[in-house]
Amino acid sequence: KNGTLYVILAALAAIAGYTVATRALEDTRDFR
Amino acid sequence: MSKPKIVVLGAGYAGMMTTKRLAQKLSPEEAEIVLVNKHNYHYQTTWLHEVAAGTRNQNQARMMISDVISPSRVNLIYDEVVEVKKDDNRVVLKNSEITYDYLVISLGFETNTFGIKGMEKNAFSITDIDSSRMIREHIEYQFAKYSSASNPKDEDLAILVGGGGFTGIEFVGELAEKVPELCKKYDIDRSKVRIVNVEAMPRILPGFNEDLVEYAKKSLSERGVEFREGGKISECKKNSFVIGEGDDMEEIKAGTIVWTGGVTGSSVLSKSGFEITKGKVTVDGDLRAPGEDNIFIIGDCAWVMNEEEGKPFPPTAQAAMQHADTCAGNLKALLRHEPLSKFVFDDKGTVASLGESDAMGTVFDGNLLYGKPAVSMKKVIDNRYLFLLGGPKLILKKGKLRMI
Repeated sequence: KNGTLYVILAALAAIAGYTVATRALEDTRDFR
Repeated sequence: MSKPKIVVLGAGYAGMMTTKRLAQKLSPEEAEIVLVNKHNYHYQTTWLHEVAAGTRNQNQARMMISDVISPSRVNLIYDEVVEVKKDDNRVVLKNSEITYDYLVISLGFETNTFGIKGMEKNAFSITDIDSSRMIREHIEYQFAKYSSASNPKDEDLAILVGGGGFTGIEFVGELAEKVPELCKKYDIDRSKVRIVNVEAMPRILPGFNEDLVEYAKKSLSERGVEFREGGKISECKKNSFVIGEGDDMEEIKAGTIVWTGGVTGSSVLSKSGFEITKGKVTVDGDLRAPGEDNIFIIGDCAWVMNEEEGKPFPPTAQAAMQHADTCAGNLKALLRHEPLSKFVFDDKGTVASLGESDAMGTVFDGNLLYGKPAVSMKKVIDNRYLFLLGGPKLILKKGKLRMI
């Protein structure tokens, strides 16, 4: 049960990390 | 034999979804697909009022076209459309020309001021990212100027919004949330800032359910928005609206004037010789331009008639996306010599935001929604489009993730 929980938490953390990083990167793009 | 070339003009809701669907429905051997757009990005027109009010960063309301349309499948051309030469199957662009076998015109809308004196010259309009960003900067500049002036005038802080339709009401909703922030930032008393919405019709949000209109008015009035319903603007001066005529004339002064009261189809349509009715082309049931076998006109450039009711379907983003499905399906049918289908609008309802914290609207056969459930539904609607366009990744990148 703990193993499953850790996998879920790791997946959620990865999604949150991706979301924050990808949104920050949008401000550096060359919109023209 | 060379494969047929489909050219899509404009990367708004209709153009993006048509291109996306064409890339899904047609193999690379079946057709070459070209998408022409002025910018290298697609922006969410229905979020521009948030950019204009300063409640959303402009980069959250736009995305690189190449992020959601594969450049290896679709030829992306960033140029401005000048004119369509129907007789030669040719499109004149600002810097070049392209030919087509099939054409989709989805060039969106332009502002229509209905000839109101001074409106075009003196009022801002919410038409694209650049114009919305300019409004945001102008409003903030008024606050900065006021706080540093030796003899400040309260009227410079006032914001006048012409037009009480969908965009006008959503915009004042955002302003109702942004103005207190600006007051705090520039040490200004909130009561000094007027937000005035002027609508020529007897009530705001024409066509909306009466209970919803009352809810919207109450919600916005409680947050300091004033309404002038039945206020026919006779002139827009540099810093004021003149409402009414003769003895009933009233002048409302403001440092910021924004016109949201009308739109018309792209001026490229009339330049290209299409027959125009009230600014747009009334298209056939299969979305083709009358008398043209290979030209489709969709989105805000087209009136699509509801034959049962004898009037056009509403020109909304929801309709534009559905135009795209029918248009792409019919292009596939043309290429495969199959019968074309008629456009049928599936009205899933309409929700208007009243700032970040409130909303109202109808969903699924007229069920009324108010408050937090409507706020959540509005975000579901916004995120659904992102999902259709770019899947879950695009929702994470651009979506509205705070659901209440």
